[in-house]
Amino acid sequence: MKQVSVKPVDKLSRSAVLWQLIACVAVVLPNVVWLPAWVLLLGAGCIAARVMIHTGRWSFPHWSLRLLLVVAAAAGLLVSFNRDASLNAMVALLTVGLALKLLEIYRRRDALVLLYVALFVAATVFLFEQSLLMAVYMCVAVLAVIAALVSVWQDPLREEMLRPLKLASRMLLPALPLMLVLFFLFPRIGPLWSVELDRSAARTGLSDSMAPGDISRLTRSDELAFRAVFEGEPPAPSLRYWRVLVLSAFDGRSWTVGSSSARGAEVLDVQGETLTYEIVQEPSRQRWLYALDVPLAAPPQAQLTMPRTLVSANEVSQRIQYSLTSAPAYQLATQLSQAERRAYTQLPSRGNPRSRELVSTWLNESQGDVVTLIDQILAYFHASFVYTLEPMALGEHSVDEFLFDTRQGFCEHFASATAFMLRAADIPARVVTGYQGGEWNTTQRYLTLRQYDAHAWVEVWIEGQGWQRLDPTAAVAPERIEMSADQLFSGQAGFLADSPLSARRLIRQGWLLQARMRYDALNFAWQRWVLNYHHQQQNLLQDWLGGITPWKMVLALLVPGALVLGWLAWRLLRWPQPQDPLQRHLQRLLQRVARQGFQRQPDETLNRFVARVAAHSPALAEILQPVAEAYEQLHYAPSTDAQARQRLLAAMRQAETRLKS
Amino acid sequence: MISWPAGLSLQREGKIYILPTAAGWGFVLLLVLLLLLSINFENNLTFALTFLLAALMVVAILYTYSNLAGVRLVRATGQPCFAGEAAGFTLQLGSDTGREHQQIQLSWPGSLPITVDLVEQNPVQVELALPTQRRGWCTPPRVKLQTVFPLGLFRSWCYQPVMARALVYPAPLNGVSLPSTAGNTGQGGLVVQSGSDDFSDLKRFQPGMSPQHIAWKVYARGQGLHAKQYAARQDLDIWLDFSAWPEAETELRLSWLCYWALKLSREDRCYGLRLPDQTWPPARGDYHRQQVLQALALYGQVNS
Repeated sequence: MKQVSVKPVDKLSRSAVLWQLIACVAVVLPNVVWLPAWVLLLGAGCIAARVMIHTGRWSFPHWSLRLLLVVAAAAGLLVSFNRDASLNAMVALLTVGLALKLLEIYRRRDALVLLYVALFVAATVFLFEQSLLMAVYMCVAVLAVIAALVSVWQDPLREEMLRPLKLASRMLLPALPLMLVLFFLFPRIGPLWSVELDRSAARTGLSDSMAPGDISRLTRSDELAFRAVFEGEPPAPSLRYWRVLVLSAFDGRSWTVGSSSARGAEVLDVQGETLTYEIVQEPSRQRWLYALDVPLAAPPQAQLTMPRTLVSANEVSQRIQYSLTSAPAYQLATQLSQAERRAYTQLPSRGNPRSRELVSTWLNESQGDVVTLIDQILAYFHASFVYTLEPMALGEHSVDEFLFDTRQGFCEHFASATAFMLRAADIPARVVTGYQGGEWNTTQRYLTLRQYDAHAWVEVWIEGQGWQRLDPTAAVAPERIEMSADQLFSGQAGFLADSPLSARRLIRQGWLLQARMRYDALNFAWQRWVLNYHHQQQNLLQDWLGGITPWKMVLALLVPGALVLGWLAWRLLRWPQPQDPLQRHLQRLLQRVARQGFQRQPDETLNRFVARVAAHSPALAEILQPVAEAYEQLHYAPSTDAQARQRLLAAMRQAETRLKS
Repeated sequence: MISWPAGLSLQREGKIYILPTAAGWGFVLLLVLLLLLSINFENNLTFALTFLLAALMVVAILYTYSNLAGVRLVRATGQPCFAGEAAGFTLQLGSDTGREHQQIQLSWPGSLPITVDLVEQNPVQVELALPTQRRGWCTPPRVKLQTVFPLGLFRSWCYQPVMARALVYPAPLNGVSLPSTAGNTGQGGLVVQSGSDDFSDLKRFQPGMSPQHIAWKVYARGQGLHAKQYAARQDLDIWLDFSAWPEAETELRLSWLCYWALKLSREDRCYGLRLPDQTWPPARGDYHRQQVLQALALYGQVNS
């Protein structure tokens, strides 16, 4: 036994100091990619200095030096972040604070401040990066912080590094199921005040105007646009037209949305089955949402425009999720007012003379029949046009040059030329931009649409039938509609030019493709069920609890919580079973005796206990006497005497049977 | 050899209380901040982190509780001291839970707390000092065991009775000279056995004699091991008499007597003690001194 002397209570152990260093590094590491270089240098310097102090080569810095560092760091922050109170500035401030505090940790109180701030910094990491890998990494980082917290409170003389880590992991393990319960049940309310997340990176995507070259430029990027989850079967590839914008104004070169009238959405007559699906849209920094041609209604917080596209109340700056129902077969706006007819046949008064001439020739040939004219246009394209990602640049009379000179183009060229010719023939027409196709993930049943799936087509209004989809690209390159853009363009130089290292360029078949699909599915599940849980919670709780009432919520929280904590309490507080079978036997026997009212005192020998019992119940004492004797014999017997053990065991068994009877 | 546990039933002395510490409230503040962050950025991963830490805090309650549960005072002994000093208690802290108990702090009100681990050693012996004021038996209050381990977020504590007492002697006071009372007459005789004043004789060394008295010079001359015999030329009986200062109050008189008893013991003189109700005949040695001091400590106390 050792004599324990008075120790300084407040000092940190040496292993605790090392744990503080590890915890801080682990928490700051994910932010290294964007933190200003001088902050990283300062952090590295402080860590190095603390290690020097730790190994006894340096002493703690003088207060004047510390003050100097604080002032310099504050000035640095002001310069780096230009006095704007952004999230980045706040995290940088906390990081600088961590680094400087690290320099002077010596007592418990210092370490606590450090670790609490480290936990806060750990949380802010998720505001910048939310991937599955990052979540796994942050679990490790938080484990390091908790280990550091344990090391703060342990004996200052303890040196082992692993001891706090073991205890921290033993504590975090039962916390995980409790965390899940809270995560499922805690009601998600909207933001209390508006915050501006600075995701300054420019995004590629559709814009509200379409000039030649705009859509083909998007094929340079494999950035995710959105994913669509279908409850049942997905639509056939030729029906996967995702409607985003309808462009109705033409200035001779580019198509724009044009002035929108205040009227409600065009009348939709659904023919055949509808499809219900869910869209998880990546942040686009634009207001429009994506829908399969053509949506029945708008999701909450969005509106249906007149030509049945969706527009959100706010810019989509975070990943959002919404449910939609669409009708693949439909009749849209069978009636067209005079104003609308005028708007949809509007063309600049001059320009593209050769195209106008060609149309009037065809009109004469078809004697004004719309369908014949359309067939003629498509046949014209089919005969001699090339569908390419990198068409030649077009000049002032873009339609003329495309139709008669270059004869090569991407979908926007065909759509633009088709709509122009129809309007020249006084047939209402408009351009629709959006996405076409998508990669079907067989493991998780969803479509992935990327920027290179961007597409443009035409809608033409036919008397009695309303707006009809007309995709001239299908006449030139029907494979574009049947195959995914990825498969179709893989050989072309411009495709994915902006993502030279994309896995998509390298992996197109075999088990690697399967693995990529699975990885994508995992990521998508992560986004849907974890990152976007607030969109799912309502339905999920409804399904699981059968209605959300306060009572059910409380029960759903308490029951699993009590189970986990009860299990933990049992693990922590149960009395250990004696390892020795003799001891177990004796314990059982004495419990049996105790039930008859005789409790052996802790400091009582078995012999004295039996003597005490004899005073009250000679019969019971008589049963116990052989046990006490055998026990005594064992105590004085050599440790190797197996017989003595056997005798005691036999005596206890006998006493037990006699007690039962 | 099989070893039997001291007790087979969970012996818990009293309740275990548990409350958050200041660091715990700080942690709650951190959780609130994290929750605000999560709500405002609608970020489910920060929600998850917040809930993980909240759950960890709940788990910490159980861990802090179980760190103390099962720890008990196995044994306690008290060491005597003089009034005004701190009485030393040797407390033996143990558990037979089979778990590790770390950073258990023992304290009495007003005493310096001591922190121990029950990890490598179980039970552990702790020296704890309790300040005393008055002579007599010092019965310590219940000792407070408390711990904030492992996370420092909660403090759990309990009180356990200390089954020991320490004897507190009167504070020795040097104020008076011993009066020459009836017994202290004139020259007195020579006391041969074990005085220490003057050298008188050499005797053959026998085991049990004080090694301090070995005549090393004689031994060096090769004449064998001898012990020097001293004779204390002194009064035969020095009496420490309680009634010598009738005008002084009791406690003061006891303090004076205590001082003289210590001084005479140090000088290895033979003295006796006369209290109104008891008399210790003159003697010397540690046992006598203890007897005398105990008598002084407990004089006039009811439950001595």
